[in-house]
Amino acid sequence: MMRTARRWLYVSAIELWLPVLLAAAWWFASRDSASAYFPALRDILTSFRLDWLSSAGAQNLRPSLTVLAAGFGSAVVVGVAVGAVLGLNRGFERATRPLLELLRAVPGVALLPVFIALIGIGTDMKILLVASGAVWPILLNTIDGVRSTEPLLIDMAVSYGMGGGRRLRSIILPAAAPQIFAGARTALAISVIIMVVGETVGAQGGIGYFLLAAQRSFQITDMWATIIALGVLGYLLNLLFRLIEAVVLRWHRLYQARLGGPRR
Amino acid sequence: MTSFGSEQIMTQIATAALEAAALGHHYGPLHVLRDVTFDVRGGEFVCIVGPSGVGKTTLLRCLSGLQRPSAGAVSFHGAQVAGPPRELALVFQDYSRSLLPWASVVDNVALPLRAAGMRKRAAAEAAKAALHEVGLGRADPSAYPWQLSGGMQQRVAIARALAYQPSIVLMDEPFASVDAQTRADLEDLVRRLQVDLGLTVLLVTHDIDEAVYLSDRIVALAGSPAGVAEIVEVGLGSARDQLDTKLLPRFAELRAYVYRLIRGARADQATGN
Repeated sequence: MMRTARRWLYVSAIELWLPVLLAAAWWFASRDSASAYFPALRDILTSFRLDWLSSAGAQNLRPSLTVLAAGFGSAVVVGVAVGAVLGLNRGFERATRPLLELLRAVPGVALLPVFIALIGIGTDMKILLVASGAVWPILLNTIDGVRSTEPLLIDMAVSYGMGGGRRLRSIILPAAAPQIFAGARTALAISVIIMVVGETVGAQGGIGYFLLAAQRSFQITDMWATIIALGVLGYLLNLLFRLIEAVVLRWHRLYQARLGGPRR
Repeated sequence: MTSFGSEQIMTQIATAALEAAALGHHYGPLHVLRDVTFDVRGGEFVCIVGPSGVGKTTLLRCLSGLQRPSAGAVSFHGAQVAGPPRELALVFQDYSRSLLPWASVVDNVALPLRAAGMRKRAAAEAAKAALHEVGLGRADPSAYPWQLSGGMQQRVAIARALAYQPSIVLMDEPFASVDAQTRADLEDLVRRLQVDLGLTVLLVTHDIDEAVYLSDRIVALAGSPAGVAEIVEVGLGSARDQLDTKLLPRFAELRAYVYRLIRGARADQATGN
């Protein structure tokens, strides 16, 4: 217990010294700033507190989080489902591979005008935009993960009379889980970017909308405060993701350490 | 070699549990098995022995219903095998690849039972009983299999087979990846389980000593494509001991005989006969 606490302190110290140093440097360098574009960090943090750590902030955060959760969530569901189907059907996968690579190469936000034309500028459009951009790393990693399932495990499952559904649930998806998680982590970062871009177009609320509105009305401290809020949001989302991964893939971390393989 | 009339074999001659009739298999132009015919009687311990690369694993995959043979047929208690029969369990050579690395020892053993619809608690109970049976009663059931030694991992795989309550267990070189002492322990374990539980065991090995020590009958494979060189009655009785049995003149005689069967067939092939 003592050792865990000490190790945690040690890791935190390593992770935190640079951000703390940079923040301090920013704080003192901008202390007497007269520039309209680079206000004092103290003022930015005050705006941050008023804009985002308040009930108004929660109000502005809600539409963004809704889009993020629904968009990322559907990307995971669709990516894993389609990835499993393609991973299990070698011929089908080969036939669709060029198409998938082509679609993946289209930048997620490039579809924005298409979706606006097709379904307008509502929440649905933004969810679809996030999902269509975030689905690719999950889909492709799921295909690879499913395909690289140990064949002997499949033989074992078949010999014990396990049907296709059971094999998928008990053997193939758990075996592919490390790769699925790696894809999902990339997808999460993509989701945040696309969410912000989506909200800068005709939205009524959300972080992206607030960011653009602040810039357009020359509320530069609010703009900087929003950028900090986005950074904090991204950091917290990644932290939450790593927490879930640490629980679900606990075996994998220990297994890798045991094999002496690369640790993430 | 003529029959050595073991009383055990005489009483259990009744029905064939597993039967291969004129089995043949080829991968494309490569013929692996040719006209393999033999049977395994209920309660019998049969070893298939042959040199490495002779097609033993292919044969076992065909026998277990994992692979459809190109020619001939396999029947299990008289019914033709189209897929893995319910009463058949398979133990693979490579335990490190046949156990789920993400599941605990007890979950690994319980998996086939859970898949067959057994409740979680009942499956865990049955799994623990099977683990006890293979001498892992004191091992931590919540450990991951790869945290155990090689021999213990293979015991877990054997426990998984036992928990499934098969009437016949097929084993593919099950002791080839462990050290000599562990190997002897595992041989005795399987021998004891076979007698105690009245199991039928078909074990594939390249090790002639192991085949003679374990089995009631030996199916010697040789040639390319591989066929049955001869089926040898072992007749060493049901009580075996790593030291005493291996010191018997009969043991030495049998291992020399089987050795010549396999090597002789190879020499014939080399000279084109």
